[in-house]
Amino acid sequence: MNNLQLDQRLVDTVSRVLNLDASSITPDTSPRNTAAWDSVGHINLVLELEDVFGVRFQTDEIPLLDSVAKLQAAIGRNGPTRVDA
Amino acid sequence: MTELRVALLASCTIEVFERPFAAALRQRGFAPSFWISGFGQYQQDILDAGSGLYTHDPNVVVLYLDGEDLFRELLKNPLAQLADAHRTHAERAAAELRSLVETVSTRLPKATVIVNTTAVPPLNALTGLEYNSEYGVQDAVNEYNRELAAFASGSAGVVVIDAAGLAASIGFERWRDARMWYLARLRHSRLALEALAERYASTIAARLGRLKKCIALDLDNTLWGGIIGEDGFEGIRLGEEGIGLAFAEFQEELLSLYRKGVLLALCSKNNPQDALQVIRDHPSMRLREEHFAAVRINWEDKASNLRALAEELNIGLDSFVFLDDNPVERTWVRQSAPEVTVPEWPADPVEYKSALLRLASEHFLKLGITAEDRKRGEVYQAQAARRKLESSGSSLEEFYRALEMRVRIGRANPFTIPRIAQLTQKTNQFNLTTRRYTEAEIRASSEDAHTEVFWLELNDRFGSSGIVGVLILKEDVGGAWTVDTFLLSCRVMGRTVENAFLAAVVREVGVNRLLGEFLPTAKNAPVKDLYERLGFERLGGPEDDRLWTLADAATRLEIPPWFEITIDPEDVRAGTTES
Repeated sequence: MNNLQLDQRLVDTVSRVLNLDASSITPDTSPRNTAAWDSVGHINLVLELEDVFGVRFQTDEIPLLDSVAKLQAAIGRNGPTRVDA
Repeated sequence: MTELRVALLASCTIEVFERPFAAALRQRGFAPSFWISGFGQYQQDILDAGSGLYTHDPNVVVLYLDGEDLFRELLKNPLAQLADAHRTHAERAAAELRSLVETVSTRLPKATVIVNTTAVPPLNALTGLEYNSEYGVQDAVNEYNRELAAFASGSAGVVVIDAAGLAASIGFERWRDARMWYLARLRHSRLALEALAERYASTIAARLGRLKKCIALDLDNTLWGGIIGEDGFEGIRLGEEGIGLAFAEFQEELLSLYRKGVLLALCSKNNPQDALQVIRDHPSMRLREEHFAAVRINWEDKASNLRALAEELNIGLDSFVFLDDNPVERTWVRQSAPEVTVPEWPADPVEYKSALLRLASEHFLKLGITAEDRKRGEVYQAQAARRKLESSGSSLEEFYRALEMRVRIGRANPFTIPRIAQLTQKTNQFNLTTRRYTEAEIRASSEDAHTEVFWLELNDRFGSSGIVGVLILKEDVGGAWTVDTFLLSCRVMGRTVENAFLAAVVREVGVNRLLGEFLPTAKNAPVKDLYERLGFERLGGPEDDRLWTLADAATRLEIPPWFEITIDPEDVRAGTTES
């Protein structure tokens, strides 16, 4: 299990987008254990996180971001967006 | 919060649109519930009478068809066919759309269907060839959009959103997110989804009459650069060059809003003579005294002035948008008159025009112009003249006779339906039941055998007020009639027009037993005792104001003698006294 420290903005965003209680969100929260995290929820999460963190995910990695832990890692990997992206 | 059932159908992925759309609708006071079509299923879901689309019984049907889906074949091999073949393709696509929308409208007569203009990526294989050669796709796209507009303008239940225009204003490169297309067949970027959500929500709000009515404006550094009291007539910046021109063009946009039927008011801290001299005499003013429905130019606080303007114009404070260059004034008004919408305002005057256009696309999004809209500014001038007459000390009866009121009434027809629907949506004070109807619903009622929908137009010595009253009666199985809707514009309250209207209609329809309903709201206390005054009896207990009855209505209701009444035959066009 993951004792990864989660970024509060990430938790708030996941909570808001998927309509989940913030306290129930863990690094292992994923589409497999969360009904609201379906394909539409996934796109909504990706777009919202890009806006909140000022990052842009790679096309190839988007489908692989299938847990909160992986989302956090991806946010760290990708820098802020170019202004004219 | 108003319940709103929405159906979403599209030629591309649309589920992701639900979230920003729902948020934009909630922000405008709606509680939306959605039904969403499956991917690529829009034709099936519309044609199948048993589909979830119809079970959901939506108030609004969004049918979003993207240009890259409709014109996919043309874009794949744009050099294969010439202009004629393109036009055929466009005509076929438009005909299919028309047929689909007609199917929806027939099965859901009260729903509003929202369709969209299309665009294709401006940068494509034909760039360079487009317009310079016989190769091009813009002709097909333009033909489709043209046919869409023609079809929609002839249908009361259909509204067009210019999605192509929205994409152009944002920039097509930012409209698309290539990742989202390849991963999810989503044709929109996040920016596009948000812009569409705002525009669709504003359009729905506009359709249901939730538009603002008045822009209240500061003067110094808002309508002209500088401060008239300090810089003087020659020193303010208002002219045909540079920053002065920026202010003049900002005024021109305000003038366009005035012509659409938006009220303009002034709220400025100034000596009235200084300010009025500019408004009357400055050669570069585009707005003149006659364009302002009401003014408060004094040294009092602006929140109080806005309240006074609201009272004078007889509209709610929540119908106002207040524009002021001074952030201190804006904050003051937000705190002391929170019902007023006070947008943030750019610091640089060169941006005023575009800021105004953006706020107009949200709060003053007119989807149609009625004759009343075009005359509204003048009408307010005439109101001032009537008020002067009323306060000139004669008796009430002398005042009514002196007005020389002529009333025209008639049954709803395609020319009057938009204004009738608009009145049901906007009227709050003289409104017995406050039922809000869309154009589609009024049309359906006017075609119903047991419903009568009447409009009233009032003309007097000072001019025409246009269509200012609506009466909807419903017949029950026993032959009694109930007043479903009885409203008058606040401009014509206090002149016994209601007596004339109800009496004339019941005679025309031939009503014996008439039932009236009063549904109390926060704003319609002025008509609480209307039925009592008209001679009705209570149906409930002595304290119950809600249900009223009158037997022998056609005989018992009298038309006051100071009116001249004409009843229009059904094919005559009303509301067009364009004298």
